[in-house]
Amino acid sequence: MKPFEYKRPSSLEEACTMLAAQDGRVKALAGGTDLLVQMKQGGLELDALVSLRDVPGLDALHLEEDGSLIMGSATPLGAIENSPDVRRAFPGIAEAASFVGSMQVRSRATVGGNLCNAAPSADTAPILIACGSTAVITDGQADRTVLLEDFFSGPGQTVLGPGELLRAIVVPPVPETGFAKYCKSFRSAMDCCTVGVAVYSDFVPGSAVVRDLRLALGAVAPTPIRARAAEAMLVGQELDEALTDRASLEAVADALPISDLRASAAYRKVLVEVLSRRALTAARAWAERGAVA
Amino acid sequence: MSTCIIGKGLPRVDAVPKVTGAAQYTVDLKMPGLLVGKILRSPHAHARIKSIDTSAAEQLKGVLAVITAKDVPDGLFSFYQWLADKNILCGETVRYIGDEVAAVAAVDDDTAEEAVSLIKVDYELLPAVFDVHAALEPGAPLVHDDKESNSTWSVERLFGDPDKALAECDFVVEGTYVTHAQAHTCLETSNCIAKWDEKDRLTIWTNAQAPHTQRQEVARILGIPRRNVRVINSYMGGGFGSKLVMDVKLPIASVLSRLTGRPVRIVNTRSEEFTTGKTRYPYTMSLKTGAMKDGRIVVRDLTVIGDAGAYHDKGPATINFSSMMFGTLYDVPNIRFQAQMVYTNKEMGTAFRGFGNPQLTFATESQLDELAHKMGIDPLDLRLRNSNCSMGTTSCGAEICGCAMTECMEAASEAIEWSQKKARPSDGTLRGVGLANMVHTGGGGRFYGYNSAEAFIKLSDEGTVTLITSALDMGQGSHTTMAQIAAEELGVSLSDINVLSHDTELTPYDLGSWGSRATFMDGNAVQAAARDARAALAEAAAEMLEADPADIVIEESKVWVKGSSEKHDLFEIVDHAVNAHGIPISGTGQFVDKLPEGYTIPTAFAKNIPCFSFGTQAVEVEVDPETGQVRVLRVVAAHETGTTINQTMSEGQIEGSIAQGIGFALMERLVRQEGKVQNDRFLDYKIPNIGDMPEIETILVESVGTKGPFGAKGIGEPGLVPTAPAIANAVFDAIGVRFHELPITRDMVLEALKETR
Repeated sequence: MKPFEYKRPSSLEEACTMLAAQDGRVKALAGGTDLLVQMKQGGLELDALVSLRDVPGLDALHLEEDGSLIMGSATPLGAIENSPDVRRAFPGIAEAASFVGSMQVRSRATVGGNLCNAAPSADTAPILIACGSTAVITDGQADRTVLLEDFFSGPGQTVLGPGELLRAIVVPPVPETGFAKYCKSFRSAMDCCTVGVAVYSDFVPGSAVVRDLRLALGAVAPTPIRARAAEAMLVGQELDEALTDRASLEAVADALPISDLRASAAYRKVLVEVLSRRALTAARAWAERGAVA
Repeated sequence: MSTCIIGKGLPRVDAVPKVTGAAQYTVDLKMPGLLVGKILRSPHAHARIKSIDTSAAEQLKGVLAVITAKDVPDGLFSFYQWLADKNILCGETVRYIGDEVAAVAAVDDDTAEEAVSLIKVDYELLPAVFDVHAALEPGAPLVHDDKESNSTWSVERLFGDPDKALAECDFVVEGTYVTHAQAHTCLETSNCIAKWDEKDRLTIWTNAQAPHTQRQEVARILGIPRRNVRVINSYMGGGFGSKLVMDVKLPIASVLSRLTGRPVRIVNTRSEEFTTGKTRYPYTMSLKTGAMKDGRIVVRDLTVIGDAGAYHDKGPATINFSSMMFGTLYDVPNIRFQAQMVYTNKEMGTAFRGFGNPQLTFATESQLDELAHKMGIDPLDLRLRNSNCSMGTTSCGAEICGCAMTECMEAASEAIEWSQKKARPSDGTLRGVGLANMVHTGGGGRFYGYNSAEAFIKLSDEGTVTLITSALDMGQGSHTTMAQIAAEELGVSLSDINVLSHDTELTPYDLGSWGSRATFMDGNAVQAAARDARAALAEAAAEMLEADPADIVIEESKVWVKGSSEKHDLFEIVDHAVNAHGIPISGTGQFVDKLPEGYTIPTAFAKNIPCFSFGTQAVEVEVDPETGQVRVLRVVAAHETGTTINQTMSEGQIEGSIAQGIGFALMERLVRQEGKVQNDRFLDYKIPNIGDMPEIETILVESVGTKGPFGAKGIGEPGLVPTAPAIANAVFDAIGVRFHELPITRDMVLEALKETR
């Protein structure tokens, strides 16, 4: 590994100034579970790492009064997985966080790191996109927000500019009529995601009629994506078995998977259909159980 | 005899240093002037080296030596020297991606890495061959152009008249079975430190499974007297066969140390471990099994093509061992075994837990289920009808004693509720049950033309028993086993025993820890040494207590005269003997596994095995029909231990073996493109982890008639041997599809399910 400078700012402003320097050969360091591996084994060469450990406020994790969830970008995935608030109000998010790596990894790895690393297979991305989350980006002076689904620009790439930092993720409240779930396929336990599918569905009370729905897919395109054609087929309709099957098939058309060591493109397409059906079936079962108030 | 210590699940003697981090591995060692060695490896699968320019590397600050083929002895090396085919550093030709071309010694990792990157090698690419079948085609590129063909080694064994039996039997099943390259994935990668002293003696610190034979191998390839080489083992983080034969990093580090006058350490990166650390030999097996209507298996006929990779290493020995196991599992009167190892331009294979037997057993035990299916017989029933039994010599000449194969089958099938399996509730999930048998050596082998071991024990006046044995502990727990055997025989507490096995200067000559050998061979020597020391102790005690040595009782570090209530501390007796009378108390023990009459290496076949170990595994799997994912829900593993020395460690060996067997069956595989390994890290080379592991029930089946210490036999390898075929048989039971190739991956299952619909 090439020598690099290790910087430890104590404020957002200082951190962003440091990130703006050195012609982009600098990255923010949170848990380091992706970044340090890339530097040690993946040939990533940087001039400096900017540690976020002394920057206050980045590990915030709380529910706002309106029920929305604020997660500081440096919040460890283990904290999200184990937070009673998250588990009660956003069980799908807690579950997705629990799917990342091992317990040791989740103690260090952060939600911001998982998103900024921008792997198409990032486990937290589909569920957060499905829930309509917003990324809060700062340049040290002011914040700007983008929808998380617009945060990714390619494999390993985000819309963050030089000197910008992902400060927090805001997840809007899930109404009592809403349901969210993440389904993941992996070759073995503690594995990188082969395909991930997350659904968020809001139902007309007392029915399985879909009022609003987002279906997000991971590891089947250069970035996590929404299956918009499938979504369009579902909104306003009663979610029955036949529609579930048709929409799941439609989701495959939204996916643009590649073949790699983890799976072939053809197998990934099968998984998109199967996991979409399982996610939608879970939503339908939830609605039919009368979980909708 | 009452046993106080044998059989108990006592904690390992090395548990505390390992858990606290006090245990020192080779990478933890510090010594003055220690340099970092790194190896430049070939990026090409097959190429001629036209020139090497090391000038830029030599000029880099902090680089102390850069070596190429011209700086090392030009002899060739292999496990069998008469098959030598591997240079320390390649001078003319590289034969796989990873072949050693040059090496550097530098002050630190970064400098060494940079120096390696500055070495310029001009290659002329040669046509390469990656597939055994292509390698056997006429006109195929020769991996070694001084050889006539890529077929490097062949074996043929014939017993009875297989052709006649095949013509006359009532049922025949045939099929081709394919297994893949599995990596050992030791937690600790291969490494060494080499250092010369002022007397021109070379000391190597490493993680060797066989320090004495590696010492000979280093001396052989460097052309120096064996007495000038000493090998010291550190704690080891796993071996599984990968650390049995010398790796060329040992002579490379030795030459670098020679040139710099400083100790040099070379440690494999994880990527180097995956791409050059050697693998399980992939086999392609064409098999026929024939049986009579009554279920008797009368003939088995097998042709194996083994993929050696670029060099021999343990290939010939592995194939030979496969032949011995093939003829021994079930007493089949007509046997034909034909095999060849074939060179390809890939990472070579080597010894790997099971040594050619897991591949073979995947074919034979899968096919036995196919036969049962064809005959309309229950697979368990078919196996019971052909079970091996004790005190017999098989048609192939294997002497079976202390055999509990039937008991293993009964125990495993009962635990998995075999008779209820057809009555399983059908709740939409696809579940299946399958089983497989195995035979393996439980005590190494006589392949060197001999099989023996020695041990020493000394009792110190300050209160310790030092046991000097060559039973190397690579993580399997042999220090604890040896300590238990010594403690039991000597009558002392386990905590009084200090085990030394790490230094060839100290330990007696030994062939090493392989072939489930240490418990049987070294254990017998340790027991003999302890018996010898006990006799010396009894004599000293008798004199001190004015009694007959035959009346001396020694138990749990207490000594007394039979019938007397006055108990003496054992170490008081030792203290008295040593300090009052000048009589040291010690013992030596040897165990020579006598060769059968008429033994010769070429004809010995199954007579090479001093002790066979049988076992049965029964597994239950669930198949997800939508994704093709196979999940192993439960494994029942009934294995013979003869006499269990340590319950917990025996179970641990079996459980660890099953984990490796599940990996072999369902997920592990080195993926190569044009000879280049694509998955050289754990992210992409998946091994089972705790979340993948099923519930495992181990059943240790004791049996009598084994010549091991207290009647014990080795249990290091057997647990891996039947796991893959048991899983394949369970998958067949679940979905009605027979897989002839490993690993059974999700997409294979899904594809097969589509075809059956």
